Amino acid sequence: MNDPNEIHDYLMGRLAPERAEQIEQRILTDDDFHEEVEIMEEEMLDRYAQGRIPEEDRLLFERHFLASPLRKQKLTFALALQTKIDSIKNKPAAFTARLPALYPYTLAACGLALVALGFISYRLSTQLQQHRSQTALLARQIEGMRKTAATAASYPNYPADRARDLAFQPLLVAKLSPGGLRGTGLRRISIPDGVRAVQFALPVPKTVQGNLLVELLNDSGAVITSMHHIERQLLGGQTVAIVPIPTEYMKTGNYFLRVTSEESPTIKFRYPFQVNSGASTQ
Amino acid sequence: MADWTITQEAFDRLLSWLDPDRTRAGERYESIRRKLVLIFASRGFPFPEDMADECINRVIQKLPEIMGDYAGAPEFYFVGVSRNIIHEWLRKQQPIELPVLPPISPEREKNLACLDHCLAQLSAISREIAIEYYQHNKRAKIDHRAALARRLGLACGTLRLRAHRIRQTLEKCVVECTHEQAAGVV
Repeated sequence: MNDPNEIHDYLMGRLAPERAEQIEQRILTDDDFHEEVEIMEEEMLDRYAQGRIPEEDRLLFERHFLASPLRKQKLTFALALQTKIDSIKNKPAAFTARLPALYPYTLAACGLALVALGFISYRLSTQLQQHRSQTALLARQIEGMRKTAATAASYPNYPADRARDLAFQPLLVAKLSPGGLRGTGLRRISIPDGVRAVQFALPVPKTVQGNLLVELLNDSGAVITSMHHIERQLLGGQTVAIVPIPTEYMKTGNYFLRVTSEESPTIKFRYPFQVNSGASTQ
Repeated sequence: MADWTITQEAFDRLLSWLDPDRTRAGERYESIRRKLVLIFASRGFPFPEDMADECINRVIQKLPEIMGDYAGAPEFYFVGVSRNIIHEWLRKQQPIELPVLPPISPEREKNLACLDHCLAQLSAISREIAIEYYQHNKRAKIDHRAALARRLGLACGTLRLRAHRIRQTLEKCVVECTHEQAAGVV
């Protein structure tokens, strides 16, 4: 049986682990059920794009459901589709009234005027709709940030003031490659205004053992901040270190992350990158 | 886990395990990968596609040991491996879970241009479904979809699945189009 509420709760990360595993088994072994889950995923994205997610769900939706760049990409598509549908809905209806018998020149002039008016009306309604969608999205984001701030202080094992700060920060995800000479082949990361934390994925050779020390250094080699005891994780066949770094440490300029094995401190890797802070695109 | 890379031979072994017919095996592989991505994304992990590849890599690596004796659909084996990966990640997750808010993206304008481009590539009937099916909210949406199904001579469930598949085609096209735009191809 497909319970839409349960599928919804699964996608929101609200199900007990045992039940979530049962659902995952069904996703993998039952094609019809898999499609049901995908349809629910689309409906949830559409609801968010239309601003119809209940307030009590918004924070969880943004933190859990939209945690991956993949889901954000799906949201971008849902927003584009919604804008398109809205613009079509707001198109003026076709002019179908019967025209009285008028002189041909008068008729032609009226026709031209109507076409022009119709065009202007369509353009204006489309622009208005786009502005409304944009404004609504902004309002939702501000409200989401406000709510996040209110609850962020409850994050476990994290200083309350830092958690509160981080709660306001949308997250950017970036994968870096080790090596590279200074100034050449730099991975460029554009950080839009308002995005103030970057989660880095740093591939390290599988032969490296133990936990890692990750340091952020500027172009002159000065250490800006460091994180100890970072565990290695397997990701897409690679061993990676995942580290979130607030962008307050990264203004426009060149940086590199240095990863050192805590077991064998002589083993070090560099991950150079360039930050363009305050950029409008990623 | 020891250092290991996939060889063509190992990948072919996976395909032949999934289905003796190469085309059907490829489709089954794509389906399994898509399902894995959905599962890892639904658990709130930041890199669902990489985790799906990791899961497939581990199955490929294990295949020489298990494929002789393994009975049942291969998907069940993927279930077990995906659970292991989920448990490993949950154990290692950072204590702080950073909240994610979707940035307002100027990419949206590009997306709209690509959406028009991709809608134009659909058949007239698919285009109508893509636009009409997702209109309205709540009761009006249900009524609108029922009327659309009647007009197209389809059962409501059939229309629902068809709309979903058209949407997936459209989304894939838009993603490819925006990537091409970013690369300066379009």
